[in-house]
Amino acid sequence: MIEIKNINKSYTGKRALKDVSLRLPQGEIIGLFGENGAGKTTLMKCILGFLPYSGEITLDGSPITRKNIARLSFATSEHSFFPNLAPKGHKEFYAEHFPRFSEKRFKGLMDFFELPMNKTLRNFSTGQKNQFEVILSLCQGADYILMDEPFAGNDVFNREDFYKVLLGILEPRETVMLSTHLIEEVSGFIGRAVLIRQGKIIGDVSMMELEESGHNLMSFIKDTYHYRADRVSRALDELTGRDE
Amino acid sequence: MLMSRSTIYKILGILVIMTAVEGTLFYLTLRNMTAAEVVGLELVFQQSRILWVCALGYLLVTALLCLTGCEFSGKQGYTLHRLSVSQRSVFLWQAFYNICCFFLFWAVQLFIVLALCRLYMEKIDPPAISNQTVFLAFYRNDFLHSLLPLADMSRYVRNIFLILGLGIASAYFPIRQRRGGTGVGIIVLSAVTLLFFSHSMGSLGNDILVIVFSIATATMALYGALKEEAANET
Repeated sequence: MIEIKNINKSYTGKRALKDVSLRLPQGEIIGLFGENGAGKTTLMKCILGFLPYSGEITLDGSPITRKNIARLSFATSEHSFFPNLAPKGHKEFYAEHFPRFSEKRFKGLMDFFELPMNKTLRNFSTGQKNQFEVILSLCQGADYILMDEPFAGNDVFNREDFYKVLLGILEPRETVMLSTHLIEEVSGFIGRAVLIRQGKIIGDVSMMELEESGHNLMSFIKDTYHYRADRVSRALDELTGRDE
Repeated sequence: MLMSRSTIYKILGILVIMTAVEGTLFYLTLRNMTAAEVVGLELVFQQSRILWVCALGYLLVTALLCLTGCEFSGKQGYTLHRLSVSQRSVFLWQAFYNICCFFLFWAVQLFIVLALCRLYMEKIDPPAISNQTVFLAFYRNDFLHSLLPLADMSRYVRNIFLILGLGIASAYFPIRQRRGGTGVGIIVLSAVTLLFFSHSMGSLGNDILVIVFSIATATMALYGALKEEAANET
């Protein structure tokens, strides 16, 4: 289990995370939702140790260091692959550095997305790059797969196919934490939703609890965010009124 | 190693092109000279502008070693950070690899000029040359002398420190770039190399200056890379 205790993170005076505490048990698919700048990416980067922070993050009771970092993988829209290397080269590199790298899954996902094995990544389209980034994170053999806006730039059909494949291939030990704005798309696929706003966790609910209470994910998020449904109509009234 | 995999063939390509261009320039210069003009091996080297080709080849190799590993269109640092091997090891291996590349560059350039010397000896009429021709050329021509300093020990030491300094400073460049900075050490050391590599025999002061500069640049790069790594680990 990944346990996050009272994490604080500031960027030049501005607090990006405020006393964030969270538990990520194995085998869950967790959606991490929030506006731009809410702290989703910062939280993931703190978990991975890319950013310094105050507080404590442990993996099965031990701090996350080079010894156990291979149990975490990361797919980011910023792309962490090597652009001058082809997928075949990545496969060899990952197999060398990550002992639990799954060649079978790699080949299967490459075939599924119809990605070329010998073309350098810099010549891929944005959608293909995203797909490859996700493939690497899923094949590393990690127990915790963190995905930060992995589908930015992919079409809806592509994404839907991907969700189905993901649900089919994940093993019980694998946990996925998915940060995305595509709330409705992932609502049928995640098991738990975590909401973050201005660096604070403001909601954490399982999809089963939501269903039992008769809510759906979108209404839960809107309620938690105190979304004002009349905001748009009032703004339009004001704007058109000014024109008159 | 990923770094060597993505650069070794490009470096070998640069060396092959450099060999071909230098060979062609030397041959054409030699062919176009009249018998009266061919008064010395060092003059042929000077007029064929091999020094400029070598400088260009050096800049290309340095740029390749510095820029490979930099983040231009992604965040490869995230992947490197998740490896079981430490960033310190990555840096030290890269420095070792870069030192080998700069040594290879020097060795190939030396091999080229020695091969061209042999060509010269075969093309020139025997009365115009002696068994001292090549030996004297390596003392008279600054570039040749700096490549193979013969009995000039300080120049050997300078070359060794220069290669070490270039290798270490170029390995630090991508690390700085990934952390949002610029590894200026390799830029300044490259400028020093271009300005001061070719120097006349017995310039002890110049040799000491380059040695001190190489040591300082390498030390700063080592200190920077290892200190930042230690800070990250804590």
